[in-house]
Amino acid sequence: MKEAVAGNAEQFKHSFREEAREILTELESALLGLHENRGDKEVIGRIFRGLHTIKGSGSMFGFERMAAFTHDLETAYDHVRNGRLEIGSELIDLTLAALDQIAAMLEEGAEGVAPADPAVCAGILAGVRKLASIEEETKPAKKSQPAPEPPAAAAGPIESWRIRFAPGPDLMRFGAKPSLLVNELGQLGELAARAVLDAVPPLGEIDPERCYVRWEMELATAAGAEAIRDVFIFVEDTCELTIEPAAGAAPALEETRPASEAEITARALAEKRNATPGRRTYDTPDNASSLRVPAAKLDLFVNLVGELVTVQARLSEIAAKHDDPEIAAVSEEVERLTSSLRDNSMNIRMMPIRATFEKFRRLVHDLARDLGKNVELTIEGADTELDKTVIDQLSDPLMHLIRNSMDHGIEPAALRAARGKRPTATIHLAAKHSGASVLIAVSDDGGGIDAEAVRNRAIERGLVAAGADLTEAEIFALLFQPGFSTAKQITDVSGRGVGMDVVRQRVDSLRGSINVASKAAEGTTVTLRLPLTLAIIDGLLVSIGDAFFVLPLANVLECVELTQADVERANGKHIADVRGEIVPYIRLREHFGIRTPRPEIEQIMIASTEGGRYGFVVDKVLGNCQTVIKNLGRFYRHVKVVSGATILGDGSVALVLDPERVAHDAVRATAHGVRAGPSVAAIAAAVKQSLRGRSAAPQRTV
Amino acid sequence: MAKTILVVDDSITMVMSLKSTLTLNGFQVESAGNGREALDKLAAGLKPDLIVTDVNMPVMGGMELIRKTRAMPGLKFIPILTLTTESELAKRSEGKLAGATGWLVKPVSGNDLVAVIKKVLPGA
Repeated sequence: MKEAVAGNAEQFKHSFREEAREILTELESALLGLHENRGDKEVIGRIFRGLHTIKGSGSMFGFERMAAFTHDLETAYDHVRNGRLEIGSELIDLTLAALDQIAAMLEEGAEGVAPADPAVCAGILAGVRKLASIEEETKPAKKSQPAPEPPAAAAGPIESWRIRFAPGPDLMRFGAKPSLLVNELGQLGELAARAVLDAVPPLGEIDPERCYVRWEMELATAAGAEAIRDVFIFVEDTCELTIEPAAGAAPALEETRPASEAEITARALAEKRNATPGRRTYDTPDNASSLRVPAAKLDLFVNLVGELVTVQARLSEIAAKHDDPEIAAVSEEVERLTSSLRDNSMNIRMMPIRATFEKFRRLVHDLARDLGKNVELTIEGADTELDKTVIDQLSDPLMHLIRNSMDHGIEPAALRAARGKRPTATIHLAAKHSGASVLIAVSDDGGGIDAEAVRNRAIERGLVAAGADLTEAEIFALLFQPGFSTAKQITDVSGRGVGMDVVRQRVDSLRGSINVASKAAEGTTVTLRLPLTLAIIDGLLVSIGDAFFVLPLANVLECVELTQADVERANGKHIADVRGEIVPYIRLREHFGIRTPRPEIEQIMIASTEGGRYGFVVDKVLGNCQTVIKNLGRFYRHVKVVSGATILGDGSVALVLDPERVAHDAVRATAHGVRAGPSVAAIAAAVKQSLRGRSAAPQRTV
Repeated sequence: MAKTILVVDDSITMVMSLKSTLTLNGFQVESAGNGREALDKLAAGLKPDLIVTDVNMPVMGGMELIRKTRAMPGLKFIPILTLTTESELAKRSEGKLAGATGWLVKPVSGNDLVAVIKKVLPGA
């Protein structure tokens, strides 16, 4: 290789001579131009670059003397370029003289050219140095050119070094790769390296462009500290690096290696305690303990994870078909990873509800002042975490509920005194987990809801028939009907009859439910039951005929068989006997108008709903499935019994049922004596069509 | 597969010599006469494995080239070496700030050039 380069040396020399001649000509005309226009930055830049090339390339191609001579000139013009030195005719004249000398050096050895005069050169340099106030350089500083020596060539005793290498977080943004450095160290001798991962944040907080790892290494090498430091030459200034002789004189590596990890850890810990605070920036993840990430990125991430869950389901299905242990192993691994990825990604979205709760303190305070009531807000379970999307949507409904409580619930001070209540009323916000749901309650210790007043009002507004026989729960539900308001007069605070309606709409859209409990003169509690997350649910996959449905696992209590005999015993009533307890059931086949023959043995899924326990009769229970809910789209928005659809492993479509709604519809249908239930078969067919189109050409928003 | 190196220097001789050394060492070499030319080549789809660039060049210098290259998709983490002269110690830190991976000091021998490239280019 060396010969090859040397063989070309003469050719490069020749080429450089040509290039330099051109540069010199250009420099000359540029310098003369400067006489006319001294401030021309462009020209000065050109002169600097010309000198720079002559110096840099000159040194490369055997014109060392010329390069050295040009060095100070270049510096002078760098000063001019940076405005540190005024260009004057003296400098221009000196430079012109210098160019002549450079030309002479360039043509050295050629016939008919006078050689450069060392005395003249020295004179020029002295002049330039004086002008530019450049100190004469003692020999150029250490080149610090990294020249890794092959370890074989290294002589000297083998020493053990302890190297701690903590790359700066931005290391990778310089195109550097820490692994390369560690490998390079390994080439110097025998290396025992351990990556320290304690600064690596949880997945959600990882910035993939940052380096969080540091290394503890022991190296046995003959190369010496200088060679070790040379490995890190490019990153030295941005990393934390300590190289020190390992304690104990060069122990045999075979012995140290098994013990080294514990030893290194102990030492590292001891050192960490002693570390100077200023240098600890890379050690502690404090400065990156939380990251702000645009919600859109998270949404995309969760969406992709959702898609992955679907694809993984397909893989599992395929693996189950092929009796191949290798595929099965991979499939199981993928399933495990997908599931933890899913949990993790859901977790990223989880936020404590505290901030939302806390911000109502001000609202309560202001409202209390406006209304002339004395109210305090108490908060419970503020650390309860739920999906950020849910939290975001929750603010408005909670505000309406609180306003309503303040305005209608809490009595005027005089009335409170008469009832013997504390003068200061309380609004209590509470959140807690309940299965896959979160319960959020807004309670007040006010006058409670006057069920009769609500009923009358509803009749007056034409919301219910005059003679309707309504349960208390049904009456309270009327509060959330559009256009309902019992306030005697419209106040600023509430009473426009829109708030509570909005609450229900919002909670519905979050697939949640509302429960109102109230006791006259004692207070009211409105409880919102909301799903923990919106994107993915755990469900049970069931089939009826050739249609598939998913029932959210959160609702399902148990599955029991329903035989023909059971049906006959119940005398045609849709009632099952579950261990002595009577549970009404709904035949989804009939409810949805699916006209396939009934199997001998059907399955009842017992689910808990607001209205109590109901059984849902299906043909077969196929198993557990994690399901990504896809919206049905605007076209089917009115279909309440189906909360979404999902694509199964084999590409077919399952509708995700809302048991609450199904039960509600079925009960109403029975009461009104009509066979209700929209033709779900028709919906399923249509949805299947549209989803097939989607899954065939999945739309990526990336 | 041969690694591709983009050499950027306004000195034709420098480019020639780097090209010859690198080619002899089994690298594929592309070249550009200044930062602008280099960026144009990158924008046109050239995907080098490493860039060696001079610092002082007409039209667009090395620092700006590095900054702009780091902002290009797919080139964010490419190793970039600057070619400086020994007098330009300050340029090294400036280069680091701009995002250079490392530096080569002129005059650079063929051996050193290849050694440094191997230092920052995985699999070279």
